[in-house]
Amino acid sequence: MNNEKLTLANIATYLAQQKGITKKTAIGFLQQLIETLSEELLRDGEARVKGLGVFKIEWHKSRMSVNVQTGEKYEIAGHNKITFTPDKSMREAVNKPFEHLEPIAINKETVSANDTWMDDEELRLKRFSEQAQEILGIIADLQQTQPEGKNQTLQPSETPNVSPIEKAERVQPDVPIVNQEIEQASAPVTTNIADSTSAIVQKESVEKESIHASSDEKTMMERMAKQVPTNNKRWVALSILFAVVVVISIPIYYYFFIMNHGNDATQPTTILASTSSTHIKTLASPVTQAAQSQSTTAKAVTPNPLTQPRTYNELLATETFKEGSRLTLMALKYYGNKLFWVYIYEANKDKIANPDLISAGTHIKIPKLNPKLIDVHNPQCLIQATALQTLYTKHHATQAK
Amino acid sequence: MTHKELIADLSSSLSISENEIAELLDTTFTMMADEMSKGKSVHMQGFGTFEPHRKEERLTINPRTKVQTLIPPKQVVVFKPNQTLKDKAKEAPRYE
Repeated sequence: MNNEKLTLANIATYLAQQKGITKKTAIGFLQQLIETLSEELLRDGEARVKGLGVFKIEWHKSRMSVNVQTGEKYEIAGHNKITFTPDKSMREAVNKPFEHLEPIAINKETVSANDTWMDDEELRLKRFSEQAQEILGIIADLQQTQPEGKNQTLQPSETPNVSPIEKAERVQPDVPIVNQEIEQASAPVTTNIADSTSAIVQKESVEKESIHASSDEKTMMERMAKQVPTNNKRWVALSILFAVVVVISIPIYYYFFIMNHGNDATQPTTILASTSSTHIKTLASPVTQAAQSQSTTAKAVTPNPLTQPRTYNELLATETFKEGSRLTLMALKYYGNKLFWVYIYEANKDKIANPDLISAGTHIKIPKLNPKLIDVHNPQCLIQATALQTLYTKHHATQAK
Repeated sequence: MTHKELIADLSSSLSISENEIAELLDTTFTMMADEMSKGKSVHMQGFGTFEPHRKEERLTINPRTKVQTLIPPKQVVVFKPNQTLKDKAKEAPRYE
């Protein structure tokens, strides 16, 4: 759409041409028309013009609004507003370019919101299985082109043979590490998951490239004699297959692990927090639980401040929750970023049932946090806080249902 | 004020016959509509601007029958009063 504007002068020229009057009269006519219209509109609050439309003055009630930046509430005073509703003839004339189009009914089963989410997940899994298919296809190629392996005694045969074995060796030492990571996952670490999965994806892509490279070389050699199917090739193929299965199964395992234990994983930290903090009254029963979880987490957790269980012993301040105050605003005030509201929420979990619905008058404790945990310039901290945020919001969304 | 009254009013203040005024009004509005259908906006100094706005096509679902319907794109007229007219309207008495 071009933004060309017609002015009164343009209309006047056109009128002068069409009706054989002077331009001056035309302009005078238009100005008089406008004047009469606005006068009438302001006097009666309504002006109807046949062929153009209806102008009306409507009263808009005063209403409350919220400043998006600060969360402050303010009132928008009631005021008059001018509305315009075009006449039918006007509306149809302007809509001429699209006149011939009519609504089309499509009969299709609707999909609910939950299903689309599952579809997304399924898509991702499907992509994994497609990749697996690709790799299997490449392996099949390998098996066909293998036979030249022993026959060629000199250098060219060595390179293709060595590379897959090396690769298999390279993959195998990785597997125990991955398993260890799975064990560690029982500790409340969410960032580790993301790291390890991305690492796996990288590994996979590297593997693929190397396979491509070696298979190309082999197709060159393919025309050489086909003899002596060795056991060697089968062993190589099996080891690659094993590696592929492991690579595929890990994300699936993680997926189900998060689904089932996502909530449990966060529980130990909060129990720890509530029992160890001096300001909150300890309950008798969770103490044993806490002791157990402490022993398990103590083994797995590294000195990284992000993965350590968070304790809220020291307080920076206490704030009374008022109308219009937000946990995010408090986080911005004390920690420098809104995302860190999750830690305030964790410290006050015994008082806040739902972080979206805090009653006024609640005393909120602002805990003193490890500065490494709330480093605004460290993306890891932000990622962790975001992960916690999505976890809590999802948790409460499911509770609300 | 009816259409006839408007014509009479304009005719008396401009000393042009009522027939001619009616014709002038008609040509003005058809011309405006014509230009707006081409995507041009009409700016009337001292009053406001008439703008054509394109509404994109969209899918609707009848909540009762669950039938999806594709609503075609269309072009509508939007009037934006100029600032002085808006201010005058605000000062005017309450219309409810």
